Amino acid sequence: MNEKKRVLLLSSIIRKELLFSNRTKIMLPILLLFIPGFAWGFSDPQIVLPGGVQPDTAMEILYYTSIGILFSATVFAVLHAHDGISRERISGVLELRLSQPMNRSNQTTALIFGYWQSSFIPVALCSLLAILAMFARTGLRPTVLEFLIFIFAIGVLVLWYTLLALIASSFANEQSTSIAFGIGTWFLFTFLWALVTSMVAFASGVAVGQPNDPEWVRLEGHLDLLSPNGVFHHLLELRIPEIERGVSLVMTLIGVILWTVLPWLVLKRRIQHLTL
Amino acid sequence: MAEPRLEVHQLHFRHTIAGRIPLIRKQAVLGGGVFDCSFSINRGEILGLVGANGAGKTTLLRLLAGIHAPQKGNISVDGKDANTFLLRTKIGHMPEHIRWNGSKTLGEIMEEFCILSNEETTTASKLLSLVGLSDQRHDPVYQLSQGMRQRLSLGVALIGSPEILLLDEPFNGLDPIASASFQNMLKMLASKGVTIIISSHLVYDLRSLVDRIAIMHRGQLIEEGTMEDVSKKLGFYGLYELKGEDDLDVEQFFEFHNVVEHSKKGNSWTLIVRDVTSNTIQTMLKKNVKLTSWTPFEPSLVDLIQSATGMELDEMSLEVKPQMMVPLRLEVNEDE
Repeated sequence: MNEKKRVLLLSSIIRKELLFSNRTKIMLPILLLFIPGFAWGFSDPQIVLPGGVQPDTAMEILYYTSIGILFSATVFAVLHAHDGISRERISGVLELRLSQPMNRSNQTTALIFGYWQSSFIPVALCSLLAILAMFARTGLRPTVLEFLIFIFAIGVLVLWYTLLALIASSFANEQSTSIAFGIGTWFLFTFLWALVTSMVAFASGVAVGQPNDPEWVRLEGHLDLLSPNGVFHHLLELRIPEIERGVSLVMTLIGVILWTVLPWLVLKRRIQHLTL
Repeated sequence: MAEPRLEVHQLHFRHTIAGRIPLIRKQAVLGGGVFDCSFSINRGEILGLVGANGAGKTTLLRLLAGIHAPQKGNISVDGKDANTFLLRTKIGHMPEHIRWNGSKTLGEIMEEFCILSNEETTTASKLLSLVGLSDQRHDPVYQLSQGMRQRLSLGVALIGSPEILLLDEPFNGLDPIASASFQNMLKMLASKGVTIIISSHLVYDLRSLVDRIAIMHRGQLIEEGTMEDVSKKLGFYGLYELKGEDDLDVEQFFEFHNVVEHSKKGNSWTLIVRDVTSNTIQTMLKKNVKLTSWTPFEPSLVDLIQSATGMELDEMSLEVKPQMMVPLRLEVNEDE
């Protein structure tokens, strides 16, 4: 059996265990409420958002639905992966795993794929339901490119939170630390990032929260590259010409690559030097 | 003369309690570990690794299992220097007290570890049969008893038909029947040529199982050899434990220097003495001494360590501090 096949088999074992776990069963109603539910709500032909905005294209509706994805899919990934390493460390299974003749780099890849798939599959299915809900209510549907961008953005968002939660888990010797780190990271990027942006804007002499001020919009756009949620939004904004925040496609792609590669390398290094 | 299967030469590994942090912590804080450890073990031999908590047994086993890389010294298998990858290929490791949990079945766990070991998943069912768990193959792991969990851990350690098996406290939590059947299984494996190292703090349990014992203390191997050799070296060979009732005039039967210990509890007495002959016993019985038993003295781990280190029990104490795991020789130069 070659290494690639072994990695895929191991990740499928993790995926299978987590997909049918109680965590998934508990989170599924929340995902349904936040993803297809939001899409259904934003598809209301009568809806008028703050600032008089009325979403009238499929991508705009999916863009607003992404708020629900940020609230639910990210916490779902964190809940799945927060004890991915610490649980086995506590039970002693990690010691057994590390004594097997499979290199730790491939074990890391299997771990990442397994946890990512177990979070991404339900979120992707809910996102498909969201598109169906939107189509049922408005008759609008995304183009193939828009659909691919939407799914890709969700995929990498779930991957980034999975990686962050696994890194936290690699440091933790008990579950509460990894939960605190995972939820803390989620809280920072989901709720506190606006505060961080405001503080930086204030320190830079930019008027805070002025959507018509190009300087504020530009600063916010660039600072969003430092947050996984921000990069996720930049990806979705690629197909919404009305939103222009001064961040080019290349910068967005660099953001995607860095947010993927850096945590991946950190986790790989952590597992290679893991002590029990 | 049998060729050594596993050789360990001046192995050294010290745990890092806290790493170096630029501008904050100049030097890493080091803890206990394994120091200058050398021994060898032959094909089909069973070595008992004994020592108190924190003596370095688990660290030594983790080094041999390829989980930690040695900082100094080397390990060789069949005469060839072994890196951590080779060790992981050749050696099966059963860590101490794995708390298997979750909803996976035994079959799924075995298959997962077969993939990790690059073995055919069909071997999973054969190994489950070998460790007596074939009927539980489809049971979720959380339903298993402690004994079954230990058997599962052994089954996982046996994946890939390892030539060397490391067992860390395998008898913990086993009832006497499970323990006896476990020992039989290990003897059967040894008879097939598998080299086994068992770590335990229960010397008595190992007596009938191991060919040799190695005593660890503060990260060092302080004695190693057959039980008889070690007992001789440490002065336990030829000692007898006599038990009886009512009063006993010890000096009437034994020279003062031959009496190691004389204790009394209520109406009963216990005597540990050297050079007990059948004549002595007969004389005692003729003089109406109420002798209830006389057996060769079985030293406990505490006896062995006390004798090997010259330390009293109070000096060793119950507390296991990191510096207690560091040999005295290193402690002196700790600040250098």
